[in-house]
Amino acid sequence: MNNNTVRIKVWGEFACFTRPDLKVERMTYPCMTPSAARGVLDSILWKPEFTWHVHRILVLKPVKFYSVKRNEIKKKQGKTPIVVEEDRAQRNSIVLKDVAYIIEAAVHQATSPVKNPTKKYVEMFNRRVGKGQCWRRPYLGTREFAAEFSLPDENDKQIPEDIPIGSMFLDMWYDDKGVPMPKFFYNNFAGLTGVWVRQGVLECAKEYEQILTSNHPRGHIAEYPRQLIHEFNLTEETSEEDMR
Amino acid sequence: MIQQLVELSNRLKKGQEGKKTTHDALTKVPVGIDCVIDQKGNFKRFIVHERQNTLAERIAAKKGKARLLVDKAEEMLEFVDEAKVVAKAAKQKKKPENALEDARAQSKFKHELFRNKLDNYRHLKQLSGVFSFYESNRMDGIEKARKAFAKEVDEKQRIGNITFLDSSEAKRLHEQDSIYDAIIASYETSMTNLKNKRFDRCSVCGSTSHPVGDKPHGMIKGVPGQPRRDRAFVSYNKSAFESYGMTGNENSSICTHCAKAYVDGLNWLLAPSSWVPSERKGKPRPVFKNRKDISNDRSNDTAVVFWLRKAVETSILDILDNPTEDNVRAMFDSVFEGRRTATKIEPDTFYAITLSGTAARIAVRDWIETSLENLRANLVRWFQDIEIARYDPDQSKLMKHYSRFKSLVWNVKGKSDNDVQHGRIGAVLWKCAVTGHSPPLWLLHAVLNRIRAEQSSKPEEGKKRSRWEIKLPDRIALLKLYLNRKTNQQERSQFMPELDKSNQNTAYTCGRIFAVFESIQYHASGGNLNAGIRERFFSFASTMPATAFGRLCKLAQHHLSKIRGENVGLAVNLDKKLQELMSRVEGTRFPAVFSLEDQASFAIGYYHQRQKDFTTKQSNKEE
Repeated sequence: MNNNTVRIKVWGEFACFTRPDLKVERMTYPCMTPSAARGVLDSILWKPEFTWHVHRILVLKPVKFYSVKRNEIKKKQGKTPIVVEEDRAQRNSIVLKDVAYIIEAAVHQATSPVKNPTKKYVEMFNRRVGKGQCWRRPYLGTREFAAEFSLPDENDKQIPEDIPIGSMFLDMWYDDKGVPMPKFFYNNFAGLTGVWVRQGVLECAKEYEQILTSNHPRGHIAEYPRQLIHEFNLTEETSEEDMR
Repeated sequence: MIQQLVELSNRLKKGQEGKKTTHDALTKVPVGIDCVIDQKGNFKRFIVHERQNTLAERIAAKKGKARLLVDKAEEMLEFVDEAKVVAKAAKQKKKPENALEDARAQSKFKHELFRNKLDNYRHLKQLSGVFSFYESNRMDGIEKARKAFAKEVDEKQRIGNITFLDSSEAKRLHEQDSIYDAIIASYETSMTNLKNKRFDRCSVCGSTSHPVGDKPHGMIKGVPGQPRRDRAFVSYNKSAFESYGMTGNENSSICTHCAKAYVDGLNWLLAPSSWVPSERKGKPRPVFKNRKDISNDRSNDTAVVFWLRKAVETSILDILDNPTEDNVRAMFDSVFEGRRTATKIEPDTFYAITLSGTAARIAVRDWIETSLENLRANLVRWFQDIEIARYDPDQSKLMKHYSRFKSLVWNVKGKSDNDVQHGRIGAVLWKCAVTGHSPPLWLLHAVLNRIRAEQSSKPEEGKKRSRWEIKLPDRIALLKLYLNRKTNQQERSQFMPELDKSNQNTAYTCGRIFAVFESIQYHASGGNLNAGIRERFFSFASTMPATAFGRLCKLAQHHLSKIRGENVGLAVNLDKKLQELMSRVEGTRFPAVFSLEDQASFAIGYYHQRQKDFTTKQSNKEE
């Protein structure tokens, strides 16, 4: 295994990796999308200096679909409060039940500066997972399905099954101005049409390379909070160097 | 799923790529009325004929749009069916004048749409007659036609599409190559305008040749569900469903070509392949080759559509509806034969979508993808698991009974319920049949509830058996299905279709004991029973055996002593049977409570023993 790769195990009671075409009456992909995997990793550790490159996703439990009917709202949430009675809509959702995955990813930096070597982030990540630290709770596809995470055990093995998926959503790609474009991948295994989970493994390392050129849009932060964040980053980095 | 639908659609259109008939801009439209006009635009007459299909412009979502040269009376002639409007207003208790005014305004609006569309094709010489019909020759053209429409066209036929027919050449004006080319050209320009750098690749086919944009994909017809209307499969009708600044169908990232393909594919799957005359009256019934309606007949809201990747049509699933001992055995043989010999059936993939129509759109309930080989093996397993022995009074022996799929669905909750739960039950059982999964716990719970709730049903006038007894084999089959699929994980012994004397399961034995009690009571009463122990105690005995069986044992002893007075031999036999079963109950102690699975075993044991008793009784009679 490369020095820059990390492994993390995530599991939860439910998961919903929504297909973009069936977003209204939600239908899930049978397996975790690379975008959701990247989201889990971002929740635990994200810095503007690097991006995550998702290599593989291992499926640890057999695929179980579960259908629910929920009351949802028809409008987007904004500043004005929504009166539910006027905007209630019942939507069906097909979600996954009892899921567990191991995500293998690498830290990717376009250039490797001396001050922030890649190894530093790998170790930071492993420490944080070991302690259970995260900036926001990782979730499996949608926020209501929170995930548990930990470092993987030797006993965690992927299921020896082949799951056909078809075309799958890869991730969002942002251009220089921050306009998002959805990217899909179509084949990930030679000789087969469509995306497949082969023997419990979803390979996406090669296809994910196109996402690495994506732009991280940075929002406009006011001067004072920006200063605070900068100082906080500095203290964190110096304290880590002290610990070493 | 969409990818496979697109593939299906391409297979169906094989050999016709590149032709006008399969171009995205055109599609088959049903028409019923021909409006005959001459070169100068004079109206001649209407010809009403049987519904035919003609190639015309494809409009994915009809509301607010008109089709070139082929459309309804309101669009083409600005016609208002006054009598109908007045009648409807009277029903809705509105003023007829207002209703008429609204109808006229609506008709005018639709006619404007039609004329605007027609304007774009003014350069075509072939349509000069049509333009005269509407403009220079108005009085003898459209005005005359409108007046004649109500007279010449029957009320029931008025809702059909109208086309223009040329009087001299007896051909339809829109069925000319130049018109089709013009439609295609206009479509292509609109597609080029739609192309957006942001969504260059389609999520389904991955190519950049067709644009991804906010255009409706097309409506799906024949979707089960109330109300009966066309529905969209993919649509984003509220802002809450859009994200990342994308509007409408941009969110799906499906190109227009794939969109038309999957819509055509799904429509083909849902449509009937042929019609058969109905036994009763009136409308012929549809016959489906790739579709099954799996919920309640009257308010059917869920259907499964299925197809094979290479062969497309499949009749292998017809056996679920009409299983007889012979065709099930034939299927077993063909599958086992196929396994033993090297000659296999050509490998193929089986796809199935379970969908129901909600108010606004189609909800996908399930997507199943498996190999044909697995499908056949799973069907074999399904029939093995629902096989149950049933005493047939006509043939006086135990027959193998395979429940029909629909009757299994109905008997979970009771046929008379117009319940939407049936759709859910049907979807779950379909998945069990096709993929070999085990049914969920709530199914067990529902079936046991029904058995307990209806325990006191009596036979109707002139019938021998009560409704409870008639439905019992199907319910026992469901219980057996659940337990056998569950025990695969727990290594308990499987339940057999008929009485299994070697089964040591306590609950099973208790069920058998209950059946023996019932027969003892029957013999003691001499056949005149109002409410036996089954009507009163079944629920009690199956849930709390320790308390129930105490009472029942005492009752049985009274009954036995009564029998001893009349027929000593019979009493001895029954007593021996009872003792043998009692000794099997572990430590002669009945458990205080039965779990759900035990209750199911109890019911199965009871049923098996009863069926066996019928046969021995019959054979005793004959001896």
